[in-house]
Amino acid sequence: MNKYASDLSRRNLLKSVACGFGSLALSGLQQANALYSNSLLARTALFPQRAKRVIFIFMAGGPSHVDTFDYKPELLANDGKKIDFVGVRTNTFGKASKRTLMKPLWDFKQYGECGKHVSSLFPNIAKHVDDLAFVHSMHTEGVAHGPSTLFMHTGATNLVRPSMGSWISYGLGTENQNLPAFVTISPSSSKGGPRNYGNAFLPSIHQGTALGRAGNVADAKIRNVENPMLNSEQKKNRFNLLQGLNAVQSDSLSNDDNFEATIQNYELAWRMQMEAPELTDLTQESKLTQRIYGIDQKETEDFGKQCLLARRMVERGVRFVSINYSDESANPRWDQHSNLPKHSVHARATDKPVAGLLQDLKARGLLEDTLVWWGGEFGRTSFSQNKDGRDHNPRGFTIFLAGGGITPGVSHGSTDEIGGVAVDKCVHMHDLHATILHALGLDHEKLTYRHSGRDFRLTDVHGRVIKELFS
Amino acid sequence: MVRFKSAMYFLSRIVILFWIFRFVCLNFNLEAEVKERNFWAFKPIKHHMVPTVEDETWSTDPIDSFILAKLEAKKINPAPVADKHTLLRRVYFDLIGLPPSPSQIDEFISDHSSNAYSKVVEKLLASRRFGERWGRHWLDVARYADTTGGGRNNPFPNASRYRDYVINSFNQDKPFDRFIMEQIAGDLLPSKSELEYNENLTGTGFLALGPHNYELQDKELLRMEVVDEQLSTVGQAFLGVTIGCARCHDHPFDPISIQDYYSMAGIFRSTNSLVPGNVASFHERELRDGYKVAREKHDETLTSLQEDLKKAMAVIKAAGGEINRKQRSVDPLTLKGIVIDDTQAILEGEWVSSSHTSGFVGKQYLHDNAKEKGSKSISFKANIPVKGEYEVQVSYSHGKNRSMKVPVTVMHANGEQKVYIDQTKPPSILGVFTSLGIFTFDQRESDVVQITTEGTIRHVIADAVRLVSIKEQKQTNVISLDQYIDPEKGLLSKERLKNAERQVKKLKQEMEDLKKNAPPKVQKVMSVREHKNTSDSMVHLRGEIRSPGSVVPRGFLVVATPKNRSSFAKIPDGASGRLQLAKWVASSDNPLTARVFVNRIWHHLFGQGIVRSTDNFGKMGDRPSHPKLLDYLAQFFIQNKWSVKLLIQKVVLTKTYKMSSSQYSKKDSNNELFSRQNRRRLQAEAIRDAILLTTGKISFENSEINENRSLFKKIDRNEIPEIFDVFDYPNPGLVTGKRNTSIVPTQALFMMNNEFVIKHAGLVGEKIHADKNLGTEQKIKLAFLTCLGREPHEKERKLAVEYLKRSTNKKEGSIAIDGLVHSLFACLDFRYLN
Repeated sequence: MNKYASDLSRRNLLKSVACGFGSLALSGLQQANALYSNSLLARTALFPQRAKRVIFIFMAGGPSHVDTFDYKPELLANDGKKIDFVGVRTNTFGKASKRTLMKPLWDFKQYGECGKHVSSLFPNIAKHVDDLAFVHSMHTEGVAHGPSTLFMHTGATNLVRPSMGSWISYGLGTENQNLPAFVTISPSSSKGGPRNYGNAFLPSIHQGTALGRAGNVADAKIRNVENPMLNSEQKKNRFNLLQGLNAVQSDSLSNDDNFEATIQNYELAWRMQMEAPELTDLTQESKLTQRIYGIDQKETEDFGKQCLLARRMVERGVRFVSINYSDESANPRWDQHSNLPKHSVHARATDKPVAGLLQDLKARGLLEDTLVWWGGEFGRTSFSQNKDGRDHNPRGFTIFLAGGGITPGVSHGSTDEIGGVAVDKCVHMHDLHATILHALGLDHEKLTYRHSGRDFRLTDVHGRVIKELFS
Repeated sequence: MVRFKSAMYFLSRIVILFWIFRFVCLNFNLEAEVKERNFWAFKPIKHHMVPTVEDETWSTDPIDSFILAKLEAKKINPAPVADKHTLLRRVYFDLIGLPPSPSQIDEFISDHSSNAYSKVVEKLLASRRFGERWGRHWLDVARYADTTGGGRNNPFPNASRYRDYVINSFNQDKPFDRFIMEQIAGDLLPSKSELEYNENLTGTGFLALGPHNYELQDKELLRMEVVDEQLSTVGQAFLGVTIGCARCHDHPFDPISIQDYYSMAGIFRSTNSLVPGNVASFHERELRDGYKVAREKHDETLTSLQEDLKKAMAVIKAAGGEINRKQRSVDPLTLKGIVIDDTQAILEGEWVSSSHTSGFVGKQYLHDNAKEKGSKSISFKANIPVKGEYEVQVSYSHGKNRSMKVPVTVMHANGEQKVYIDQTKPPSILGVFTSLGIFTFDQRESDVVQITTEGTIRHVIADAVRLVSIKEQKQTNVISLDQYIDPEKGLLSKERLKNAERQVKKLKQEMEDLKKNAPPKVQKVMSVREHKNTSDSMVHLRGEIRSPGSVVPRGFLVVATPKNRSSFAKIPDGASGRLQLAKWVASSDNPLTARVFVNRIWHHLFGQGIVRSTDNFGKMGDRPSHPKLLDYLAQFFIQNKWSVKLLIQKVVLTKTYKMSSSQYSKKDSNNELFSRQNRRRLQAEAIRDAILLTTGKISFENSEINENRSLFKKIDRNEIPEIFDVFDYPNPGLVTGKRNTSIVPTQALFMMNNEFVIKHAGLVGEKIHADKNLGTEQKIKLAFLTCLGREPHEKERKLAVEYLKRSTNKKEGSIAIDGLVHSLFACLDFRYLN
């Protein structure tokens, strides 16, 4: 904790952050401790910082790993064979039953210099395999969407804990004081909802700023920066009157930091009114760029816009951006308990935009210090459910990382022969969290916050950095 | 043989030694805890002499002397008393959460009697608005909300009864120790009347309101998570200690051992808080209302009418049945409304398709094969073209082997509603559909109906769902069975049905009449029960539920139990021990309870507690700045029967409370010693309420409940209203005694551009503008009085005149006044309490 504190004087800090997006919660500014927790001032990491920012591409519902990136010839060979499976859900907990293996429904081909097998679901992402690092041995907590989605975002299935983006905002602040440090684009209000980007007990400036709602990227804007009810003349007159009144009212009571900060925040808000709409205005991008993200095509338009928004944010110094491929229904998008062929709809909607994002980040030199994380809350079973679907699988699944100092073109760990359970170099979700913090130069055991008498961490008392992923 | 004996002897010695060692260790542990009693918070509350002070004229109460003595020691002068305007605004917001009206200000300013201020205080304490303000403070601590939040955001339909109970408790000035008892063990307290019984039971909502993820699949873990949440909440809310830390190991800082934790956890493990199920649930218990007998009689009559109706319906079925025999199923294309067949639904678990029994929609229906109950579900998604009311119907082919209580959840615009259908009975509409009721839906594509198999034994059928727009029904103005029949397809013969229909109508009318005169519906509250199997709990090693350690008897925190008493509870057989726990918490011997609550009161009246960390009195918390004053207040509180109102009254009448907030002393720059009042930012609710008050949307005079007041807004844990979110509303999943007060640009943006603020400024502006008798100067004055409760200072007046001149040139009329009001809503004096 102390390592995150510093000897900045209180006044200096006020000066430097008073014009920041989340700048001040002055009441807590009595201890060095509180200085950092309550500001978004950019801070230096503890050890070499490979990544400066994170883009998390959330595939809600749990994409099937054996049909996408986890190539299992044995599963193909044993299609239709019965296996014993021990249940993990409430009514089947610990009970063995016979299940029927189902082969991958898509063909795999090798790509890139690393020769990575990728299924025909992701032909565009496949072109980037030499930039990606796959973790095939993921496992996590929870079996239902709610608990697992919360666990992936906060490291807890039930208790209210800060989201990973909030921890990173708390640990590193932001590089652009005019924007929030942690943004989530089009999040779903179900399966954990706002808790997935909530600050919990961390100071509220670390809360994720939600832009819009799931399924409606047109709505993805910072709130209250635009005001169609007043014309610019009215706005200006009212603003001048307001700041005039504030000056009079603070004049009579000198030496109040709260007043000073409130007035400065109005100034900043005034500037943001001019600048923030620009941030989400995608028409400023060239036709070519829009095409790279698939914005010109109907099926990729929505997610393409999310991906492009994410690039504009990290470019401007936002620390943590979540992109959500999700909706508001009881069965999230990738949740094919039946009709697995529907995976192709979701693959088509996301493949080109994600590939476009990777290409664009690389071309702009942003991939070097931006860590991209692609994945769902869990994977899917190798056996079938309802004839042509697959059930949730928290015991073995795949995610990939890119950029931010991660060794490209590698595959880490593995599931068993049929892709059922992680067996080699297993990586728990806590471990992945620890690893991402490590890439950002943060020590997951030292990034703590004292709440109600206890030092809390994103990784609770667990987590192990996967050193092999860094060269 | 001898060798064997000596070996036995040797072994027994080892065993004895082991037990001695264990005993010593255990005692050593206890001993360590006893030593910790020297930590200030665990020492008994002591009587302290009121300190003598140099300036005897300053103090008006012993509280003042405790404060002044410390200031004098540091040679700091206390701030002067605030001016009357400031003081009145302060005490109004602090006691009722609303600003005074211009007439209330007038009255106070012109009252020069010596007790003018104390009269105001008395009036405010007696106001119903008092409970709304102070009840809200407690709701922060009780992590109150109207939904579970988290994974599957289930609504708490009856949580508001707990909220109202809290408000009433503060309004009645219920002794705080009683308030504690009711919230921990209200269901176990004796009662002399139904009213008292209901009140006691409603209080236990406190234990049931946690933010649980009821779909957690490991139910034993869920049970322990609930126990942990209840235990942690009780610990922080009443005792200011973080018991939750000891779940996995002894508390790293405070003298709370893992044994202490499981000693108390045993009490909550012996309490039944969960209704089992794939997605589990919380308990709701019935309130008593004197209609029990009437209700039974009513149900009886209704049943017999239903029997008659069934017979009449059989005729209709026979009429339709003939057709059904020829045509086993209904083609969805012939149906009106939005029809979603099972082939379009989303399945979870193994469902079997069949067309064995006639009476279904489309080519098939699905059944669960009566296997793996609880793990299967089926969701129907609908694309709603227009927002509005729809009758929701589900179809099923009925039969004797079907389940009688199939849970069907309707997910509508206002939440979720669970309905049970009996699939052994023939469906009434077209021989295939049954109605689930009328619900509102938003215009969008979303899941509308989910059928699950939890709690069922026999087959569950899932076939199709139909949504019929109520508006369309009304337009055609036909309210009969015909509405469900497409006349062109002639599925049913109208003539055959007519007679049966008439009979059904008559019976339905009778039932309708009966229902009109029905006794009121039974009301329910969220609560808990004693568990069927009560027992002491095992320690869970490292907090893992499947790593059992030794059993610890149920009891309380050793360190907060008086030295000469056992910390283990005497619990009768079959009881959980909650009643004993409640008594232990609410005891005047408990060193924490009274201290923690008087400190909460102080915090709300000064913006900082005597112990700054209001929810943590442990070693990681702050030390009291005035320990003797804290004890004095705690003692006063206990001696005056734990009266909250009396203590608040005492504090707000002190000189300390009345001090100005604008003095700045270098020696006490952070106001550690209370050399002045603290300037405080208004809380989210107060900002919103103050705006609503200016437009008359809520009123102070109105003595009934002001439903528009912010605290009556439903709190969805997954969707906090924007204005609350922006102004640091506490996370309703966590105990919060002290709200965060951030200063962020989102607040500035909200005040500048949010529709709510601009709209209300417009309403006030219009009202002022409409008064043709007022000149510009008078309009400015009225705007200031309405918004800030005072007249403008000269400089402010000039700014306003200039602004109006500039804006009126553009012929904006009332819009210009709107702008003035808007700026006043956003200015410092509106947002801060001096």
